[in-house]
Amino acid sequence: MKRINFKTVTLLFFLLLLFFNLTRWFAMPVGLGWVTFLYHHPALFYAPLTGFYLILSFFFAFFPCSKFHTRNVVCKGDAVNPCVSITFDDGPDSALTPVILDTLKKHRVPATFFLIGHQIAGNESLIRRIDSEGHEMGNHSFDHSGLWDFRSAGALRKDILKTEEVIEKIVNKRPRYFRPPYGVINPMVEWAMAGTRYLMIGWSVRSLDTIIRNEKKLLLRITGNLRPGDIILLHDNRRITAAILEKLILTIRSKGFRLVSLSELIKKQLMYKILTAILLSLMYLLPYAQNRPLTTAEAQDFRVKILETTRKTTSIESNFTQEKEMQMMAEKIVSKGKFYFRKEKKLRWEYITPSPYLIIIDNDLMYVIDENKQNKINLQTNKVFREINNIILGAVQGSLLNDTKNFTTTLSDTRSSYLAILIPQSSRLGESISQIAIYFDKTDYSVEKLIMQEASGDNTKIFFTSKKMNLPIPDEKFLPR
Amino acid sequence: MKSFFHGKYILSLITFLLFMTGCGTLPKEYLQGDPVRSANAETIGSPYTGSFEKAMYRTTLDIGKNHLTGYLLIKKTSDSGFRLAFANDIGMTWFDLELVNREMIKHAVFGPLDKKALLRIFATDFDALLRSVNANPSPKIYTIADGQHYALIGGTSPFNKYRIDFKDIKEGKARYITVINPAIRLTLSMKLLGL
Repeated sequence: MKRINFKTVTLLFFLLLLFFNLTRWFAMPVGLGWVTFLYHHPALFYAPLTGFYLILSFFFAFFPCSKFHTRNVVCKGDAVNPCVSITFDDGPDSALTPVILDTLKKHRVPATFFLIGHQIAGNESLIRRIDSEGHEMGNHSFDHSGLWDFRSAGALRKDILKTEEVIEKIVNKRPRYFRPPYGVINPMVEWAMAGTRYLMIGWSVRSLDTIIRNEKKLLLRITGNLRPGDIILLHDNRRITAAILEKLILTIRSKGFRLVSLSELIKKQLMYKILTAILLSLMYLLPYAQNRPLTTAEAQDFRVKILETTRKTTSIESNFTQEKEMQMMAEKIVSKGKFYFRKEKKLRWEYITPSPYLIIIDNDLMYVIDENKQNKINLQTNKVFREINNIILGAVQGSLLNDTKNFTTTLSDTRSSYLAILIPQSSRLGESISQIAIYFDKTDYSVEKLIMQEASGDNTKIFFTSKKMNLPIPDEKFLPR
Repeated sequence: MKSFFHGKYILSLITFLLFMTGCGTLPKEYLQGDPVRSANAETIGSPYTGSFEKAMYRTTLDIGKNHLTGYLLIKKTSDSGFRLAFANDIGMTWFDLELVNREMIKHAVFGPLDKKALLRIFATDFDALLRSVNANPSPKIYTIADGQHYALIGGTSPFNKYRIDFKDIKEGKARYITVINPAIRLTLSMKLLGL
């Protein structure tokens, strides 16, 4: 998606036009049915192509965060910390902005006000209050007319600078952020912004407080799917916004989010990027402090050793501790149990605490037994369970990393162990599991830890302890009882 | 559990069950299980109001022929919001949903379970459980014997008829909870593991 932008689409449009005209002039195709027909009626080619190009440009102009027309727009802050920021458009409003400021002051919430220049006259005291109460101000154009973005780039720049001048006269500060009216960004807006020191701000949560009339619905729309780093778009000239603001602040905080200023939200993002860059540099400076990718030769050697170990291993007996981490809970779900494997395809995966649960694989049969029920699954006929079975057996033996058909694998050395990260290739599996990390013991190449990362962000860690290799395991262990 | 992984099957199953039960009466066994209100019965409040923050349950969920087991976590997210996550024993998340004012927000759902009709049923039944005494329209409440068990029967249409049993109640907390929705043959059995 990053590569589909206005520049590439325009280039493609002109290349197609050029190709069509060149072939039309120099190598007109004959005898190819509809292609020949098209070449004899070029309008049938020009019209849909131009139409498609214009519709695409027009459509994406309404989605600033698609970054189709410009990359100079920030729509989300740092997603590492649970912080979000509130922004208000279309103010100042002499009646409602003070109410909103009162609520923000009561709950000590910093916000950003994107101001319309022509509405400032007569509301200068409000601008001073916004500034003195620690809120930030952004530029939201001077006249905010419906046809604002249909003007030339020069006219747009003039309009933006006019608002800047008005704000500067009152608080002696120039705004740093600009949000285009209606959030529309087209090539004219992009050109108008070029050379200015403004950073364009979009949003990641559009409240639709200009349309929604029901307070509960509005509250749910804003907070229902809130994510760290979200920039919330509200309007300080709407009664409903002023009415729900207190509830909104309380709900956001009850969900564990901190409300911070826009600058802080973005600064965190920049800081995080800088920190990541420093850490990456350190990784190269201190190769033994971080995971070191295995060289091609080392990886090849490692794979051979794993194959050798898999070949030599006739049985494994081990204890395991499983920790399930969920985003919604600070606590982990910890289960403990015993694990038995015997060649070729016999496995007993037994949970003992906190609740008994047993999985037995005996060649092509799989039994799942809990407190109340026993399920028998034929792996020959059930493709999904066959896949799960292959993953379980492959993961505990380590042979999964040679399954190049279903997984792409990267290998590295973590100093204390070897690490294989497997990314599923099948879309069905990929929908649930985003990656499996397998840690191998450096001495005997057995699996010591497994981390299954889910697409949702939850993960499950399994630690194997007290491993006993190649000891006889009786048949009874693989019977469903 | 096996057949649960077939998306087409589960949709047909739900459609079939809804069709079969839509115009019918409640199954006999459901009515037979109706508790009788004792003379000096006192009802306890919903376990999910007041100071409730979070709880973990060992849970089995039976829908039709499908049998799912795992751990259900319930967490209060706001005055009117709850988050529910159900993970199976091997650690995969079956679903992670949030209910706010009877509206459902989907955080994560395991592929084959990600069906609109099924999630709507989950939303209705969990809403009934979480709001239980306070918010459901005139549920019949019965307290059994020594106050260690009470049941709640509610729902206005054949689709959302439900019965919730609270058993082994200590200090206002039920150790065992069972939700039965006969219209779609759903039984959710929860055993409290920790708060």
